Amino acid sequence: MKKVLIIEDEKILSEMYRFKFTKEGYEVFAAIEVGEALKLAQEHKPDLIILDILLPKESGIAFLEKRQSMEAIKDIPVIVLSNFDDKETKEKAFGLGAKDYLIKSNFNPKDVLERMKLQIK
Amino acid sequence: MNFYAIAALINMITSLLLGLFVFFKNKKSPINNTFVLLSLAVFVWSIFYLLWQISTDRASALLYTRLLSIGSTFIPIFYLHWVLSFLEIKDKKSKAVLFFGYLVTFLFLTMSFSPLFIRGVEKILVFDFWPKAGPLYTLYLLISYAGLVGYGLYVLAKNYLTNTGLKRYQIRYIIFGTIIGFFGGATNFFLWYNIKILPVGNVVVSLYVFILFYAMIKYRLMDIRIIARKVFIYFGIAALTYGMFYGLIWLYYTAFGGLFTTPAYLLGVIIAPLFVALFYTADNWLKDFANKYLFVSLYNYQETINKLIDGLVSYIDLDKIINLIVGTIKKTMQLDRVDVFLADANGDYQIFKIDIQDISASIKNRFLVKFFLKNQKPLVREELPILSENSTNEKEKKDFAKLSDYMAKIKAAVCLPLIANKKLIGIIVLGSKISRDPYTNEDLNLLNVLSKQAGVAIENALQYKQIQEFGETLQEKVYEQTKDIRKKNTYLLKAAQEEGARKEEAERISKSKTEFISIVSHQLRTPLTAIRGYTSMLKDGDFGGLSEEADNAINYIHESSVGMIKLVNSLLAVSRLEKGQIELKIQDISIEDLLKECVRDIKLVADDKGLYIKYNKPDKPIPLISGDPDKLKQAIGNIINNAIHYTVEGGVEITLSEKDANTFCIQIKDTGIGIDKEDAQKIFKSFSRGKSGTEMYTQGTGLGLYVAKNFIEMHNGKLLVESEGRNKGSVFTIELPIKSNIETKHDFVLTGD
Repeated sequence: MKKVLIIEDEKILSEMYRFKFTKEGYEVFAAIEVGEALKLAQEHKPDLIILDILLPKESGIAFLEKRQSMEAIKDIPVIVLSNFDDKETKEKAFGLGAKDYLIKSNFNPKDVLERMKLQIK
Repeated sequence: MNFYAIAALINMITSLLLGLFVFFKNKKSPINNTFVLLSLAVFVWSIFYLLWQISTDRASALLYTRLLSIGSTFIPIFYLHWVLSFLEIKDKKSKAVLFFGYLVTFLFLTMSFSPLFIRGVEKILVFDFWPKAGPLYTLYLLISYAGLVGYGLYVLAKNYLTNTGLKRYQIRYIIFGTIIGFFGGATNFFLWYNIKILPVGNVVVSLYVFILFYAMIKYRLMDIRIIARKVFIYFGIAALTYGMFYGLIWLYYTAFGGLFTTPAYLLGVIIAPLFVALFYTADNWLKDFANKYLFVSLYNYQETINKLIDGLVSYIDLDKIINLIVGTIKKTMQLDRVDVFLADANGDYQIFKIDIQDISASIKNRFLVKFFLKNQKPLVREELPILSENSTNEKEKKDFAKLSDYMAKIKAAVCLPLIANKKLIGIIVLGSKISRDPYTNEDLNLLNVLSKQAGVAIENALQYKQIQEFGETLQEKVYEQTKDIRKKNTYLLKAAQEEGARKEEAERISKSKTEFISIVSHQLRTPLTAIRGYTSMLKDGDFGGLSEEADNAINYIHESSVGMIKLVNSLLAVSRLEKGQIELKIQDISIEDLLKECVRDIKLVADDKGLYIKYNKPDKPIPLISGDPDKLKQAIGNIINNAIHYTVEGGVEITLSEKDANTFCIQIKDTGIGIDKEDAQKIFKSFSRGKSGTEMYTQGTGLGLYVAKNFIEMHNGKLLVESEGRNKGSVFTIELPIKSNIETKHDFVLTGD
């Protein structure tokens, strides 16, 4: 079973995605902030990470920066799923290894799954 | 040969030599001639004195005494005559005295061999044969010696008081010499009267002759004080040596028993070098002692001038230097005036500071200038006659004479040249000493060194001044020239500041607007995501099957949420447009493929509404164009969307064609509600929808066409609209260039409504 880590602080949305992904057959882990996310990632080594940008304490970019020095998790494919549509942030994310940057509200959960399938080998 | 014989010998030689020297120097001058006579008299007296001292028998002794008296008889009158000549006294009184003097002398001359004059010779003290004075002798002494010499001294004293400068000094020497000479010589007379005092003064007679000679010959005399100081030190050392010598001898005898014993030799080895060291110390100590207690004024004065000379190098300010020179010289040398003249542009010399009011303020004498350039040393007015005498050129003699008059006129006793770089940059003019003494040799040596140093120092100061002035002038000019620039600068600066302030304000406003929109959009997007997400999942049956009614309801909710999401997206896009943030990502695009995609996207909605979408291919394939596919798709998509949404029946026809070599057209024709003529231009403005639009399509944000027009224009294209009017449909035409330079970065200013 493939593992997915969702990093999202809005509970309503986190739940929604967790429901959809679990239904699809993924094992889902959820974190609401960067520190927790890093711990969970190292512990469970997911096959994909769904990352929000606007998080409490640190932004999602910090997650991308911090995981660079962590051998175990630095190469896990990351899809940024955020409502923050900012050109600079997009560039930074891609520069730090994100595979995709999706605006949450433009996608149905089904569409997100399609994009995920492209990244999980 | 006794002491007295030797003294006589010295006298003889000195007077002979001096007399001959003066005789051959200048036979015409009465001063010289009378001096020669005086020397002759002294010579005659000394030669017979010598002979007398070495005579062994009474008869020759007596003879020689008588002969020497002849010589000595003439000494007073010749002396007086010389004094009067030297002082250039030609008045009747003096002539009378001279005449009387000669008369008396000749009278006594005839008496020389008379026993009334000289009685005979007798043994007295160490002398075998000493003459005894007769009554006439006493008379002779009174009239000749006391009288004539006394008168001479009196005349000298009178003239000393009235004379200045060189003459005065010469007189001083002569008086001094006279006193030495005659008192020295007078020591001879004691024994004539059985007064038992030896004629030790004899030896100074030659000295007296020499002093007179020196005073007469030299035009620049040594300072007597300096000679006295030297003599003092010399005799001081001599006394020390004498003392040491006898002290040692006494030591040797008492300690070692003799001079030539071994311990004496050994001690000598130590003492000799010690003595030499002591000698030098003693020399210095005596000098200091002399300077401190005996010749204080002389010492101070020399020290001060030396200090001035050394100090000149450390100053660079012209005023300071000149004031220092003038002040120091005037004070130490006690002069009545000191002035500095500096060269001006015409080659004349202008006074630097006025010292005396009635003195000319400039020196224009060319001869003086020439003289200084040739001889770079001080010029003493009193010496001009001598310089004139030495010259062979008639014109030069005249020039010297004129110069002497000129210097007298400007009350200049001495002129010092200030030379620098082989040019005469100035002249220092010194007046007479207040004491009316002349400038001594030492004075003039000091002044010479001073004027050389001063020349250099003043030249430096002048150059420094020039540089300073140049610098100031330059600064002024630059300041003036840049006044304009500075004015413009301040103006520009101010303008820039104002502009900056305005920009900052505008940016602040813009930023807060954008931030507001961004924050709001984000906050709106989150719940919208949830609504959209869940409704889509419900629609997909993720929560179980739905009744048909439920399914409908869910659909509406979903569509509404999607609409809202689109609105939020548009708002954001506009905010970015307003801020001018749009950046085009240029690629090669196939317009045909793009259009096909747009048609595909809208087909569902069109089918739902029962409208047709027709796509007309171009005749020839349109080449790839450069553009941002996303933005173009959005633009075209927005227009097609509009077309569909504002049409109730019929459909939308899209035609792609080539307009000309460099332009292609996309025509989007609909059969919809059309546009009122008055709304035609308004629809492209943000938030403007046109009347018909407002009535019909409540979800149109009014932004679509605004965005579309801007994106198209970013691609250097045009968006046009035509409509017959209400319900007559509309035709939107997009024109785009095939080849164009597309600016990737775009700033926007929202055109007001």
